[in-house]
Amino acid sequence: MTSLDFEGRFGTIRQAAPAAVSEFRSEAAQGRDELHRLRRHLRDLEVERDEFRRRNKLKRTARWASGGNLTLKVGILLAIFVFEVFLNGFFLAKGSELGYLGGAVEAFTFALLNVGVSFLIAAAGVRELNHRNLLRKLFGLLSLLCYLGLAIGLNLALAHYREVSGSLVSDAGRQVLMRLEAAPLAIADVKSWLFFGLGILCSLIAFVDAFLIFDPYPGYGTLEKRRTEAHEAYIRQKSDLITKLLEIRDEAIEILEDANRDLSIRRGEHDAILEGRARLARLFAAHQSHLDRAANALLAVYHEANKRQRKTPPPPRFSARFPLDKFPIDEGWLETSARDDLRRSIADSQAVLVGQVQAIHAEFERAFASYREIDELVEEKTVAKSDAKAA
Amino acid sequence: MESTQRSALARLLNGLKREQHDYRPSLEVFPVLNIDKLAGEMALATTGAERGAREEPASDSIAFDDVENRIIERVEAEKNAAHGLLLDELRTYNIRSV
Repeated sequence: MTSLDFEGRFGTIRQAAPAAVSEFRSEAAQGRDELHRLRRHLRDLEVERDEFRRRNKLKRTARWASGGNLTLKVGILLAIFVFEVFLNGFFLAKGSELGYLGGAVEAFTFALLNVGVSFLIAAAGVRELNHRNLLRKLFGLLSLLCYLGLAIGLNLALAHYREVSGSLVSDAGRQVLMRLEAAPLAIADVKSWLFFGLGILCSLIAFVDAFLIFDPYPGYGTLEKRRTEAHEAYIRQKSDLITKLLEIRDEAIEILEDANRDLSIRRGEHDAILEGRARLARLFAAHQSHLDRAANALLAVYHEANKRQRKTPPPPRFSARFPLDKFPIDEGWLETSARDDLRRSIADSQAVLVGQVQAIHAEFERAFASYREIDELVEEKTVAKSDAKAA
Repeated sequence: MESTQRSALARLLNGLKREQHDYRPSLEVFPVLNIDKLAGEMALATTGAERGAREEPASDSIAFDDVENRIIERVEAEKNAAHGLLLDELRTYNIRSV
């Protein structure tokens, strides 16, 4: 048998309901601190980006390949590399001293040099031409010259190598160098010129690909990428925190509403118990009356039989009614509604629960607003700092 | 012999038919007393007639005689049992409602 345990419920509600609001508040404050840190980091990156743009007189947004675009451009680079390997294999197949394996290694190595180095020089060196710093610009110019020299030199050497290896002479490498020194453009076979042109084309595609993957201005793309990542992290964290707060709010409200419903149910059960008790008391009163009648009926059976046989008059009590002593019925047993103090306590607890539900709603609104205010707060601080700097 | 046998069977049958208690069949918490059965069991009519023939109790007697006392004790016992049941039930209700 379980008791209604109103006092226990009141105690739990008095303790748990305000605790739910405190927990919610602490969760919101923790989220606010975390969000503030991320927003400050983002703001620092924005300042750094703005400063970079101002210093380098950049007015456009940064460009860099990402997602499917990046996959496509890297795919193009790989396709060019594979094409170059096959191209080398096809054109240098006239005769390799090292056999098939040696030919394949040569094809792979030259393709790597032609495509890979072109891409690297463009990405790390030639882009410096766009930089405002003169020294870096000079480095970019030197890189461009290096690239041109390497692309033309390497592809000319390959064209000569094709011709030399085709005549089955030994020491083809030395022969190529000698030919390059003596008459670099003396290539007799038109297929070798075609080989040279295709090599230059592959190199140029890899070169341009570097400009499409990275922002043309050195450092700008990386900085903007860091800023974008920080912005995304901030937005994601904000969204996660709001979702978490929503979950906590909904769960807390559900529990508080359950507790409210539980009180109503217990109140109903309490009333049913009082009804049962009153009914029992009324039944007992009726039973005592029945016993009173039963005693008199049994006495009457005895008295009547006795009177019929006797000749002398019966004792006077034979004609009197026997009064059965009855147990008193407590007035309290007949009460069918809850005590006033219990009613008041239930109403108070339900009011506490309703109040706490409203408090959690209000706390959520406050937390939500404070998350939005972080943007303004950080902005204001930054403006104040720059104003102070200007003054 | 036959009459003795018949009366033995009649007694057995009476015993089978006889209710195991002095109450009327009921779903009530406090069962209602079966007055006719109780009067029969206590042989009130017979005892009353016998004592009446002997002019007992005396016309001037004030106190209850043995038979009357037995009736009153039986009903009082029933009342006390019902009161005990009431208190037990009330205790259960009180435990549940606290």
